[in-house]
Amino acid sequence: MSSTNAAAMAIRPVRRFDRSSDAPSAGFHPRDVRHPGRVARSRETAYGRPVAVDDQQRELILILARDLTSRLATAAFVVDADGTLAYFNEAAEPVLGASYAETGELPAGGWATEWDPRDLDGTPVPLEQLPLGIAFREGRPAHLPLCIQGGDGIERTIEVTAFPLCARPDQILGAIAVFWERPAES
Amino acid sequence: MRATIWGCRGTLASPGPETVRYGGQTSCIAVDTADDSLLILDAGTGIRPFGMSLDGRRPKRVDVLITHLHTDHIEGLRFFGPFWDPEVDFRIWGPPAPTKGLEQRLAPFFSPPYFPVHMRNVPSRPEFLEVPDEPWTIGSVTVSAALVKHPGPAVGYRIENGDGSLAYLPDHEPGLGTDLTTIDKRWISGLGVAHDVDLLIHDGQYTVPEYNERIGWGHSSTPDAVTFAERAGAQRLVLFHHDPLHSDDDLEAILAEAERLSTSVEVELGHEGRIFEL
Repeated sequence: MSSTNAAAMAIRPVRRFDRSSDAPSAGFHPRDVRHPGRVARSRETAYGRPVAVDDQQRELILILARDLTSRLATAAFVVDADGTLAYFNEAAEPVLGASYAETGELPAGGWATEWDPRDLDGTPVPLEQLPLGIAFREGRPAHLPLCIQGGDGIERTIEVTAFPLCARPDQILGAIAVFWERPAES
Repeated sequence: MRATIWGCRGTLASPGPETVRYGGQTSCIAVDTADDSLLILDAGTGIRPFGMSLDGRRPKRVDVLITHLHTDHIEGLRFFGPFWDPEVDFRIWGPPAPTKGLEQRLAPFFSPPYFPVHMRNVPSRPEFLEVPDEPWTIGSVTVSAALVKHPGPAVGYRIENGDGSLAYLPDHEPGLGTDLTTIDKRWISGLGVAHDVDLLIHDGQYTVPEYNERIGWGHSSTPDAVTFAERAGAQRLVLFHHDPLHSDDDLEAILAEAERLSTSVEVELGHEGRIFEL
């Protein structure tokens, strides 16, 4: 077993997920982007009277993204226009070492640090340089290999590809990241 | 606010002896906003008899809210009297699309070889407007729109004033890929425009066996229509977009099933001439 693989198998204590809005931030938020388009509006004031549902109604694009990813065997992660982790599918659970039922939604500052993403040299990768950050900031797909620490305490090396969800060319409603664990090196 | 159904058939106009009670005209609802303008939901063939009912009255302004561009929702527009009146301020609202604008998408349907007159020569010179993200005002009512599950760009509308509210989602498949009974409400397509509405006019095209053979076609089964209405907290559900193959007797069997399933919402079948006072 290589040293990289040995590190990937190292087990750390299981962590609790921070679901608070003031979770540690990597100093970047999708709302901060200077994208040539615009990030979608919040729906919180979209109706003539207060929205009676529990919280903000999700955009159709996100609903469809969740419907699609919930049926994929590929691990996937759906983020809304606020940068909140809105959903991840069952296939993502063994990679992230956590279940969506356990984490629920996570604010941008939360998920970007929750899995402690690092490059293959072990250097922390800030949100704006993660594939999802690039998808938001530049409105284009991005790909990167990363090391993460799962919620189960296990470090894993993954490949991540993210792309923005644009209902119109000038409007980013969210983003999807698909990812998979790198096979162990022999 | 008064809403009148002028057409509630889905897909294809289906006049005949088996559809006389509920009607064969395709989607159209006229909303009386108590001023000198017309607000119309969809322009199926039902818009033609509505125009004829004006009996020479010439509105100053007409706003047609199109849910989507499938033929049964636009085919009547070319035969709507005020469309040909040069004095009318005519506005057509519709869903945004990823690339082409609303006029660009609609114009071919109004041009040769499909129709003898080019859209650019229509006397009312209609203005084409994609629905905004935020609510907007038309006359005395506030209108909201949201994209909903249906093939291609399609929206549902909510219309409200101080007296009441209605939501109109004639072509909608919220149950596609989703268990409507358990999922968080925020993840249900269309709920943002239908929540707590007084009157919900909603797709109820298929029986369960029919739906099971048409999943993904963009329409709802009876149970999904009822569940959607109940999760939205609607007061009343009007089943709409009747299948062209359904006779009046078939529709009444669907209503009986909807009433059996409903625990909190009043259900009825849409029929031509039905007037709702809100």
